[in-house]
Amino acid sequence: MGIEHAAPGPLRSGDSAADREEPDWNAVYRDQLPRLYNYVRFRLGGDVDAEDVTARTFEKAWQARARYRSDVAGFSAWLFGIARHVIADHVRARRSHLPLEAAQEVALGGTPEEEVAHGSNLARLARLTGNLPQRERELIALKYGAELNNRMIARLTGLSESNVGTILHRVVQRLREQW
Amino acid sequence: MNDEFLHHLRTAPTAQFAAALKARLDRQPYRPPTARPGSRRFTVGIALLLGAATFALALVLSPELRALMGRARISTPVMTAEPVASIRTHRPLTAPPRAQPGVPHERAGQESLPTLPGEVAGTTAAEPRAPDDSDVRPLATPAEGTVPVQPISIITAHELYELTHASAVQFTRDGRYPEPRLAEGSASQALARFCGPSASARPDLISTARRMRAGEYQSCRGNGSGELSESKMPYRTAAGTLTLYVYIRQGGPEPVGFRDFLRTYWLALVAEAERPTPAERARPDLYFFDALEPEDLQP
Repeated sequence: MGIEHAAPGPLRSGDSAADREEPDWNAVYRDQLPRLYNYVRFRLGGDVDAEDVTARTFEKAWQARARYRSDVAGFSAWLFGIARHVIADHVRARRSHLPLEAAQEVALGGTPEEEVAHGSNLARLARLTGNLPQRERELIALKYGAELNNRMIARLTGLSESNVGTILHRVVQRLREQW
Repeated sequence: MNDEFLHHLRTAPTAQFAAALKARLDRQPYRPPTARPGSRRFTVGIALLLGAATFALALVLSPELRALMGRARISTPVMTAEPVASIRTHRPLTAPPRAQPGVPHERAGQESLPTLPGEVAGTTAAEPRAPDDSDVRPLATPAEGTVPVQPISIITAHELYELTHASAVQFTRDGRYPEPRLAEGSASQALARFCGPSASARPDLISTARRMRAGEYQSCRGNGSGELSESKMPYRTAAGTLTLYVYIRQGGPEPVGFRDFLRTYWLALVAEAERPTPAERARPDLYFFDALEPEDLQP
């Protein structure tokens, strides 16, 4: 297949060279797993089902990893792109089984002891971000869950890099005031 | 910006989970992508050889078939040799057909195509005609004044890369057309290139996971892209169902074989569309392009 190499920026070119050095997929896995896992936790607002969603995402993306052997950054974008769809499916399926109020109760926890626990802080964040637009919640999860830089977030969301920085700054300020 | 409280919310996945997932992933087969098209080409080549041998044997053994072939009037497409250097590809290809009046690119016997924007119905369908002397050209003679053949340029959404790649492989299988240049990118990247100021850098076709915005449309028009056509369809992926948008330009020069590629691509897309009915599968034109109405676009 003819491949275009003239694309500026992170446009990914494909599989033209058979003899490219194979990336260390074990290292890619070690690097991406905590990012993806925490991204899922941030998006779901807790640890419930985070492992299941993370596993499903990895299994889908891993099948196509050979396409990204010359562009590991592209694999990361691919991974998080899949994660967004898997999470959307998961939330949709969860809604069909459980009313939203019940889901919030599960996420918020109960006792004061639990409130100070680590997981409850995440639920607290979910409560605070619950009223934010979807785009802001997504940016928070990508920045602080996946720990992606603004450039990668821009690539994933279609926003400009400066726009990502501006939105995040505004949202984090608001969250810090309410924390 | 003090955002430490957000960083502290992260936690590492358990080692047990990480190990179990890695073990599951390691059981998945790993197939380097370059091996597949080659082996597919080899398989197709063998199948074609077997088919040709069977047909030749039937011709020898069956007088009825010989008589039938003698009565049939078959038009022979003209193949002229293009300088290989004028085609930017990674492997040698059979030369594409040279455009001549009355010599269609379509093969005789193909089904009728859905009408595309700017296309006059019937202009691409094959017109059977008797071969004449002008059809006889030595394959090895380079055509005089040959214009370098530009391959179709495509930027595809990540979700559609594999399907687009497969369509391009199928499109070039018989060697009539140069291989498309295929790149992968986000909707913003694809639209920026599609609407860019440099006409030579614009792809001929893009597929995106979101619709063009009004500002992007204005940018297209401002840069002289002309009228655009859009098609959208639900598309089923492993990660769920997406709405995909495919954009092409109306009018203007088209790369060789563009409509053939659109047909191949669209049949592949329709096959993957969300729950197509048998009638939809049989009529890919249901999904074909409409002129883009800028009033409908989001800012």
